[in-house]
Amino acid sequence: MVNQIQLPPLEEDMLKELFNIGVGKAAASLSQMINQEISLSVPKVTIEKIDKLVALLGADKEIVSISQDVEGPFGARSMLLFHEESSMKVVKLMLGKQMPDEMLAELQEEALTEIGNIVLNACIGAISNAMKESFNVDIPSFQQAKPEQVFAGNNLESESTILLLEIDLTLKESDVTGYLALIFGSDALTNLQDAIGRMLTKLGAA
Amino acid sequence: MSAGEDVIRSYQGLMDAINNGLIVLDAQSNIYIGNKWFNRHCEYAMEEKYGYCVYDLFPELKNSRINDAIDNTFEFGYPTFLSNIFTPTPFPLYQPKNFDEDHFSDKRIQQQIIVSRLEQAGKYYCLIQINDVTAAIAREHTLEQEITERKFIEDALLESEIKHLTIMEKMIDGLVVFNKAGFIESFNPACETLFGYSESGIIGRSVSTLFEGLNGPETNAETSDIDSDFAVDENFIGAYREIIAIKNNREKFDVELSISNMKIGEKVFYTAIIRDITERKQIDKLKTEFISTVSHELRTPLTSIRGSLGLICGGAVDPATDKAYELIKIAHNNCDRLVFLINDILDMEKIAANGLQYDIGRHNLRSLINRCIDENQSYADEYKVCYRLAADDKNFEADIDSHRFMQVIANLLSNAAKFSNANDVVDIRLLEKDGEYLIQVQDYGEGIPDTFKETIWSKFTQADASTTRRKGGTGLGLTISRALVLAMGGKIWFESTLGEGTTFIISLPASENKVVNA
Repeated sequence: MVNQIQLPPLEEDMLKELFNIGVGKAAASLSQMINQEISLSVPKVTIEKIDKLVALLGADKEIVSISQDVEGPFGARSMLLFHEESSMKVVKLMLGKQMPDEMLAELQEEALTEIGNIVLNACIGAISNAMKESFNVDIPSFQQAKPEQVFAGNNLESESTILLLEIDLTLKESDVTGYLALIFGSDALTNLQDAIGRMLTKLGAA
Repeated sequence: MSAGEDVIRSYQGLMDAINNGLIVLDAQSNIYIGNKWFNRHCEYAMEEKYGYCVYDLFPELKNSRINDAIDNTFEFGYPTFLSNIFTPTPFPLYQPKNFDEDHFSDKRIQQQIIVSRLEQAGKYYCLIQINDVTAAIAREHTLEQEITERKFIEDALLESEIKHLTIMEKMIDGLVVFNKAGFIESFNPACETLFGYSESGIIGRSVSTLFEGLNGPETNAETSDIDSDFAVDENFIGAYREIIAIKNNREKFDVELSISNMKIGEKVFYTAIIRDITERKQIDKLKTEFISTVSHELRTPLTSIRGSLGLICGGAVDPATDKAYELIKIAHNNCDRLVFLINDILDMEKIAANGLQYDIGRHNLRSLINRCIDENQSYADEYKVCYRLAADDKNFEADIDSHRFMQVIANLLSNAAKFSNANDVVDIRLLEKDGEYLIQVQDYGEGIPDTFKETIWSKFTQADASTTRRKGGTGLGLTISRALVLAMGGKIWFESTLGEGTTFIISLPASENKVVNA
């Protein structure tokens, strides 16, 4: 596998579009859940190595991750990542300001798990729908640690390739940046490209 | 029924044993299997409802997030985690019935749900797991309340502590807190400046280190019994009293000290408020010196003026005309008054300085009082008042300074005359009671207002400033009288009713051997 992975522009556009639809759905279900307007930005899509993502998050900063394993035409682990302080902000915004901080910390895991579940499922759902392919997805799991520990706990090597989407979660006046990462096994990215290729063929574009 | 279907249904027993809600739907959202847990939480016996559509059994699920989750599971295959935080009670499920109840209570159980897809023999099923988190939520709420309450209390405590600290820090007066054993517990910055000790250096030491002659434990806290009480000087409780304070460098200075006690829980503490009065003392001293100097300087020329006028009045020198004699007589009278006033002031200063000499001897009170009445009659005549003495038939002999005693009686007599109405009588009674002689001087004048009763013994006071003008006098008479009576071992007090008059009473011990506080 080449060091610097670059998707052909058409494929990249296709992926962006897929995630766009997914993120849109996620935003809709989130808004419905908390009864307030919420917007998720158009994602930035890049393909990176894990160590690059660690650097991006900041090696010594606490992060929280909600991850779900996906099995199907390609196998991947989908992860939603927030900085610890951002995650608290998200939970606070969603649960209301009158909640004492001690309680927020208690509820953080459950609330974020559901948020992660919605966002990740919306994206995967959108992809699977568009590809007309079927995926098996696991129940979400929550983790809070330094980035390296989070990835180590997921048995990921620093060389693993990831498809990284950067999304901004905006809730009323404050906005929070979260990262959505699809982490692929050694040949999964090729499988993804194949799948996109098939899709494009079906659409008659390529 | 195919073999595949059997596989799922063969778990019925296992599912029933699980204390979570489990329900499996087929692709048409009909109930394929459900466990017995539901029977305890809703009116349905789930095993009788196999094949029913879940939305018919629970109509409110239609278009809910559960509905979305089920659709998504079948469509995309991904599981949905429904947190209790956002959707607390998605299924209409209730607390289990008690044995004596017919209906479920209307209290829904709090749920946490996972919706996921099963695949069996090429067919998709939807598994819904319901976790009853009611107890956990209740626990969380209690915890939350506890935390909020504790936080509230902590905040309040912090606030009061800050307030307390600020008050102590910003106080101009010194504030020392000491415990019931007499050891210092806290020492405010004003104290540090006053005494030159640092707070850490003085804490744990005896409160008596700070003041000359104040009760306190002898040694430091380490060597002495913390639990033993020590007797706080009662004089200082609830009132400001002067005392000499000692600085770290052994220098002494004047302070006013007031001690109050407080109870925190079961512990008794004392707070001492210390006010530096060095400056005030100096000003006082200056004033005293000034007055006594001025008085002395005034008296010297006055003595010769009075002497000269006395000689003319006495006929030693011939006044040129009768008119001149009248004028000189007036001058002589006023000279006498001025001498009295100046003497009063000088006496006051001497008393304050403990410098008055007493010439104690045995005297008959009745004859002294008679002399006073004679001497004051002319003064009383001015107010058209007459004195009336009534004495028990006894030998009223007491050890007193006759001159000072007469000064006191004269003062009371002139006061009584001054504040009587015209043509009134002033009653003077001399009697013996419980081994003491009582001298009562009663007038029937306007009486002393309540507001004035407290300050009557202070210097330069009269009921209101206007009486000074009307009646004359410095307002020193009673102050001096009291000091004199006390010095002779007696007591003086009064009883007064507004509009009916005032009675001043002096008591003197009749005993023969008494100590004179001169």
